[in-house]
Amino acid sequence: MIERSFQAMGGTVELTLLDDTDAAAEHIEDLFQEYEHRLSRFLPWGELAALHRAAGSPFAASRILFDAVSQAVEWAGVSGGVFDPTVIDALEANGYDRTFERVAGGTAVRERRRPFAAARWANIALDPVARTITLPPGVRIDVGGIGKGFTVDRAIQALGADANAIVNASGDLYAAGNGPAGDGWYVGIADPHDPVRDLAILRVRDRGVATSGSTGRNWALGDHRYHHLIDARTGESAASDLLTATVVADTATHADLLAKTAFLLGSEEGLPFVERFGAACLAVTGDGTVLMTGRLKDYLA
Amino acid sequence: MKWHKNLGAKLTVLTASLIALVGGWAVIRQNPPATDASTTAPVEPIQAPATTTRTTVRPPVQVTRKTHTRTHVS
Repeated sequence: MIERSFQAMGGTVELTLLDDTDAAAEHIEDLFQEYEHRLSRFLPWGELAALHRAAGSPFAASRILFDAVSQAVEWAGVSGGVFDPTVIDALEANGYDRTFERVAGGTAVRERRRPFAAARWANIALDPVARTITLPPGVRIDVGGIGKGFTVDRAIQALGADANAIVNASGDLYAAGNGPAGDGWYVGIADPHDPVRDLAILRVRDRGVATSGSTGRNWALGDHRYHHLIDARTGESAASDLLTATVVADTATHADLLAKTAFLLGSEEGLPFVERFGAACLAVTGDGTVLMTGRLKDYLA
Repeated sequence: MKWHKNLGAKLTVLTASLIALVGGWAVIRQNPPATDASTTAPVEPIQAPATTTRTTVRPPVQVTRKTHTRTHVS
């Protein structure tokens, strides 16, 4: 068994490979570095920054960036605009205009609010034949909401169809195969009220698991606390009744997107929304109540 | 005189029934059904079909089983 961890995408990536070699682990580490270079909004020399500079004209994108942007835009439509990858202006206006390590370190500054325009994702033109992306002038796209899950899925694909492995990018993960004992992989769900403890333990095979919420990337500016999940209707940090939403889905990308959408919708709409996609959700509200969709019991260890 | 005899029997039965009714009422009054207890007993989680959301109390923290990895807010 190979266990390895490294830094990428603003956090720690952990690999557990049962039937693979060190070369496979090194390949996945390289894969994460390349995807970060293409998808991060914090790298001025990265491909996403080049796409932003080309706004208004068709941009010939790599397969990685094209696929990530395509999935982000597609999901914006599926979620009815609840998940909106074009809210960078709002994120930056709230102070998240640099890597989170620097924001959390107290260097955030709330900018003078610019007029907020939602649903600009609908005007992004994608040409799959020419593999070009055309952003409307002045529009930028943030694939950070999809990037880790998306890269985890690509890493698992790189390991092959018979992989018996976990790839975990800062809590967004995919567990492939039957695990070391043949009965699946055991995944703890951190308790947002006491993150060193597990709220529940899942047993999964060939499933993506992701958690989103307001307890991770949040920061204080003056008398207010902000977090990175933006309500596309207001441009402000979403006032969800949930602290966290954990989703089990067929891919890490879908788990990541569904967890974010469930959080943004709140408990009443969010959990039924997850169920419509055949996925399972465990959510924790601000008062500590735990909510579960019926399908989650299939995964409880 | 036969109807007098029947009337006496009926009065006996009626009296016995009244005594049983009053006695039963007294027993119930002294031992009322425990309706109040249900308001303080633990509320069971709502059992709902698998396609709906159900609310439960916070499950006990599981510390004995070793996990292979964890998911958390990043």
